[in-house]
Amino acid sequence: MSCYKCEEVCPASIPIVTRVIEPLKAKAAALRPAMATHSRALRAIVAMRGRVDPGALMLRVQGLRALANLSRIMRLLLRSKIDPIKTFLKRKTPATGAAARLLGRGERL
Amino acid sequence: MKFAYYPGCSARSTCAELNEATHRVAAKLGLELTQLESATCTGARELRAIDPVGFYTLNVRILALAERAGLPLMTICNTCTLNVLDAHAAFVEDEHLADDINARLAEEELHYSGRTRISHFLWVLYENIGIERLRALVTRPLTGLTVAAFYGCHITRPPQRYGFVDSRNNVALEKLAEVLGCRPIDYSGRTECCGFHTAAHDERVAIKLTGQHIKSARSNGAATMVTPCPLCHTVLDSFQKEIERDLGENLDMPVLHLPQLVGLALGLTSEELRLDRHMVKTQAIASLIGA
Repeated sequence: MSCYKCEEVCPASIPIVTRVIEPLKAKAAALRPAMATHSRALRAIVAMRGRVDPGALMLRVQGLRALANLSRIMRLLLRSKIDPIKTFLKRKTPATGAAARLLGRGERL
Repeated sequence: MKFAYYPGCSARSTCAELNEATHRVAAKLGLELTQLESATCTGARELRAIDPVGFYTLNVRILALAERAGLPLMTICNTCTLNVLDAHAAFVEDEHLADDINARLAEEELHYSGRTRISHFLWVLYENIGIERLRALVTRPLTGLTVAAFYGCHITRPPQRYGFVDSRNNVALEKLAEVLGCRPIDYSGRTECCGFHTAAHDERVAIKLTGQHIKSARSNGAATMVTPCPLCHTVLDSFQKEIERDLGENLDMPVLHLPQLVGLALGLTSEELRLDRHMVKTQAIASLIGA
């Protein structure tokens, strides 16, 4: 979570998320990369396309489970909120080049 | 007034109506937006855990694009706002990090010197347009519309990040709603978390949390909710069917993006503001205010 409610109410103004939770999260991700599925999926998608494709992110994180809620998928499709063509053709964006260059060389913990 | 405009990923995909509405409203307000087409994702809150340098570099690049254009940066997503603010703070505090990032950006002849001013659309309304000018621009007061403001986390927290904003006593959206002619209502979830950032791997948290917020807004008399964040909007609107199933009751709560609420009061139609793209029908609002 990154809601920062704990920092808001901390009487000692300790930056709990910034200085404790996030560094611990980074360590956990380094020790057991499989725990950081969401972060790794997001990074891979951004490095490949420059931006997040919501369909691709859900498929990478949840696998086939992402297709279980068919009624929601239909509702999202009807409102053009997801675009399977973009998702499956891995369409690039004007940000693709920069993201590939910067994340391709990025420091991974 | 000119801004470098960063819509973020959500406003180009699941919430494309927000991007369209922002452009329409900006034109009405006299804001000239230069959209940063080559800007990347800011990394949500996930990238930093596994690739902090990558996270800072992507965000500083966005700031550098704005700096090169000589313009302040306007965002429309809470999380993107926090990410660029975090990156700016890290850049100016850590000289070595700044040098490293600029070395990475040099390949495309970009350089950041720390000068870009960062503002969210909500703050632009207050700081650049001004409440009195906005009031004068209202052509269709939203009289009779009861509004529950939902701030989300990353426009008010962490504390101290936003200077003048007090996350525990934020009334910016409520004051704005009054200027637009609405009646803001008080309820328990207005500055709480929607749970979006947990939803990709397990949406049950988001469903439980947000269900309580919408229920509270409904029982306190809200006809609609409004949010300055597309990520919160996704949970409030796109997950509402699942929330209703979880609660075992009908909520039927329309949720507007902030620029849509402003646009309605400025005389734009519901079609121009793309209210038709919402999952929860918004016809009741349109007929109430005659849009």
